[in-house]
Amino acid sequence: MEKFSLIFPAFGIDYLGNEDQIINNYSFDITGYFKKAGKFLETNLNDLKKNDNELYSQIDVYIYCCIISDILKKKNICPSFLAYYSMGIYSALYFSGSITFEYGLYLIKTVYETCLDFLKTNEKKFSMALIIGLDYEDVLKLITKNNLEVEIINQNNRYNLILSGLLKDINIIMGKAINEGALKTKLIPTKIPFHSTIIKDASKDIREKISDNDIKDSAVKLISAHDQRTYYKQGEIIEEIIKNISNNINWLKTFKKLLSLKYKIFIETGPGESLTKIAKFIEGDFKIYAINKLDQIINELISV
Amino acid sequence: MGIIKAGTRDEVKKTVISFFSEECEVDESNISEETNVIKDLEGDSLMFLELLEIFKKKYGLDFELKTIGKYVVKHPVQTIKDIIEMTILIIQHENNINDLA
Repeated sequence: MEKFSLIFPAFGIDYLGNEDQIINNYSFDITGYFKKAGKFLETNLNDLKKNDNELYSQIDVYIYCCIISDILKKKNICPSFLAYYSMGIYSALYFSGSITFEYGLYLIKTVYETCLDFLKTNEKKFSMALIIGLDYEDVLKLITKNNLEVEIINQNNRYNLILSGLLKDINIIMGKAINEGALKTKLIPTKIPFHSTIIKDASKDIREKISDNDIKDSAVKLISAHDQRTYYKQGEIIEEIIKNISNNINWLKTFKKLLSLKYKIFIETGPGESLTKIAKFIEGDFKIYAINKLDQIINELISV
Repeated sequence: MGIIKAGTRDEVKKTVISFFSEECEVDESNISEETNVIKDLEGDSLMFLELLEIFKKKYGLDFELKTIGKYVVKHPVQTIKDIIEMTILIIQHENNINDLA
């Protein structure tokens, strides 16, 4: 049997729109997960489903990732590696048994609120953006030439970059990128410049709020999106949660590392198909399945 | 400058329609030159990028993506016909496409 890895998406993705229907086919009670989250966050279910709240939209992706994780576990689908994109780390840790569903909610809420509190001391506004069509060096030149407070915080593939920084400068670089030949730029709806040095000091505050007792060794090996290290021990997990907040990540390198480890099957364990789409521009001999192919991948893996 | 052979346009058209049919899960018979890629097929920039890569390999083209990006800003691509015509120009002019009037 081919080795396979689950890959967990981040927040801010586009949903397919039929996620509930796909999950319902497996007789999973979506409402139960949302009720649990609503209770934990002391908010009602209707508020939680509103997409205009940044924290709740993060929670929403996390919940779907956890539900799909539970479907795969129920089907005895056992990956030998877990990779995560950005804040997908929390759902990867949930799958691995390192944290509970509730502790994942706690971590997401704590990271979000601590970063926001930290940024309140700064009068400037921050955000993130996606640029498609320019390569790393082109964007770096634009940042340097225009003296912008913007960092390239992730490379998804050769022509797909994520930036974090001052909102004002993010808007400037999006305009300049189009003039330079970018096919698309998109503002990511967040007030927090994740994976940038801007929030480095906030990540120190977050460390104090993480209880070591609530995090266990991972049952499955994880790969760091930051430096592509593989790890599973409790101490390494805590260190990675912190690093994952304010350090740059590199999805392209992460994916290539998995390919170099001879992984040829990937399952996007969350809503949407963003990682599946990105992977089309990564060279290699592999198959990748999004949630809309859940039936297919489960049948293929079970029949082997 | 690349040479457009007889049948190249038909070949490009076939590739474009087949690509969007597969990507957007729409039957080929429902895609024509007048089909709006964004409104009718919910196509996106990643699909466009993928299609450019396909043509780059298929015809051994030499162009920088940002050159095409600059061209698209001046000549927005909306329909299947727009994509076919732009592809023909890329095959003919590659990196010099923006020198066209």
